[in-house]
Amino acid sequence: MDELPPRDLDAWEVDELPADFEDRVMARLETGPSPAEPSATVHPLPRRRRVVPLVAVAVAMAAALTLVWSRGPSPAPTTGTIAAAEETRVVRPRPGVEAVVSPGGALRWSEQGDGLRVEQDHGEVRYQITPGTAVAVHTPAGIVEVTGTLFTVEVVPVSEASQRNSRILLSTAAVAATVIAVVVVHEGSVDAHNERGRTEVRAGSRAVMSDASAPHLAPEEAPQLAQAPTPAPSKPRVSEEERRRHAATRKRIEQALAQRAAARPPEPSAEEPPPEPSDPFNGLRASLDGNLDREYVREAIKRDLIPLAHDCYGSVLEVDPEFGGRLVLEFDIMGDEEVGGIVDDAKPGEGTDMMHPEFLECMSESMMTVMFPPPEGGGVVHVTYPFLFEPG
Amino acid sequence: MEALRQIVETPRARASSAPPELSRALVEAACRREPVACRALIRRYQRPVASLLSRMLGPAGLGHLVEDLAQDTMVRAFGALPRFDPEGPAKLSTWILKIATRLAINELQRRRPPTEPIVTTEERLSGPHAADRDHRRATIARAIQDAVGQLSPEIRAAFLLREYHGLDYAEIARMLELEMGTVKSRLSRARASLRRALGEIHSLHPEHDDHG
Repeated sequence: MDELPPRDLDAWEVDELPADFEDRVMARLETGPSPAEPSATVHPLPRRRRVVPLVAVAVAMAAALTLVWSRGPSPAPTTGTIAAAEETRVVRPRPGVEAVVSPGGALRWSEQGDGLRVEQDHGEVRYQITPGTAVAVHTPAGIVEVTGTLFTVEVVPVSEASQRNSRILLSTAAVAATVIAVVVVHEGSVDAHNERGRTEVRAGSRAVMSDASAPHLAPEEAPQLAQAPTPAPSKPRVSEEERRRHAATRKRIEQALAQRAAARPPEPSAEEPPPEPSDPFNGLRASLDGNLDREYVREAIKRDLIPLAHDCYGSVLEVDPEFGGRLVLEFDIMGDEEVGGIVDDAKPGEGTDMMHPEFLECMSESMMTVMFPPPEGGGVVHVTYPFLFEPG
Repeated sequence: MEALRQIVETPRARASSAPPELSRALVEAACRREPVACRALIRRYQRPVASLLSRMLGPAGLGHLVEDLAQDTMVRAFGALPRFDPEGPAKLSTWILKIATRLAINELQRRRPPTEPIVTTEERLSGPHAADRDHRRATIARAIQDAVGQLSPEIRAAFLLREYHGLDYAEIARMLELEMGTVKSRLSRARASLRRALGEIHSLHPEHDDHG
């Protein structure tokens, strides 16, 4: 069906809700029972309490010795300590900062300049930071600095990690590591860094770091246990020069798309695709939206990515001959017909169970080097492309 | 060496990129009414809810009800949240938009159309090309509002969910309990009509080179 020009649709602007909308909804939730929404289509949610080692942010609120939830600003002590929480505790070290400390969590805090310094030695703490508040969470594995976001930090000694069924924890730790920190960001973004490196972690992502390895983004947890720490595949696939060129091209494409938006002709009719046939791989399928030839994408991946994928996979097999599984790569192809096309934002997607950070990084960077033509009429096309790796 | 296989099947239309959905952990915390999680949910979804309700109700002169219905949407969502299955077919954003859509449709069907809404153009002091651009943009906005206002509540919802929220036809058909063929054909006619109106505007108000 013919689509309408996005720029025209955007002309119809709507007003924002009032700034206190959130408070009003919260007030209604607190004052009375909420009307249930009748639904015949949603599935019941299991009521079991599921322990998720890395993302256990939902814990019961307990009103121990510290402040409970209140609407107004609370007096903020300049220093404080929780040695080892026996139950979940909520603390507000200063206005605009709330920390939910899970049982076993240990932290100290103190004012430092205009901000707050938190030292988290162990356990899991969820932080809610008002935008504009400078907070730095120091862990033995590195520092998480943030202004205005919602995130969780879990600090796990390596000795404890080995007792967990967590491939991410073990595959992350280098040989000399003694402690691991896992950061999960729910809103906003944080900067996680130590002396070995720095990475930005955005909402919906997680990163892991240790006292012997740099922070890096990690995919979702998988149930299998890693066999052994594996070395990184050779040098990064994308050099600094290539990164700069990629960034410059990206900017040119964005500018060109902004200028083309008004002059873009109506997109050609596109029939709704037929239902997907049954998949022997439990739902794995490649999907593509936007104006780009599917066959061309497939051929480009075969031609340009597969050889590199062999290298990535081979590097891991040298250390772990049994390594294999599914990798679902999600990436955007963005382009302008006069500038060209680039792969942007390649990352492992839902359905990926090959939890090896270096392998995943190698595959993502390899994907970024594949050349595609720009989508017809310019723009962004999102591609989901599954792979199955089987050791021979 | 290793065997490397690729599985490629028929592609499926996807929505343009949107902010990530709330994590399952936060959803579970919101079910337990943890304030931090509740506020995170409200912040994440209030804007799409408000934009849908504004465009559903605005053409009918019911824009003053947007905030009330947005609140109702959120409160109902929290009430039903324990029944939402993160592993189910619908995303949380789609599920919440469904609640907002129902409320809006109910309101439109309950009330008679009131007086014509007044659409104002923002006054700006700028060069002639920029002033033309503002007028042109306002004219386009009015044309879209008028066209959307002509649609029945269900088709209006389908149009907005498709064009402004990126839902696919199957999701829309499920949400509105309509046949997918009906959704497609009605939207096709709505788009054709709107495209004709926009085409006239574009020919009457050709856009100048825009660099500011």
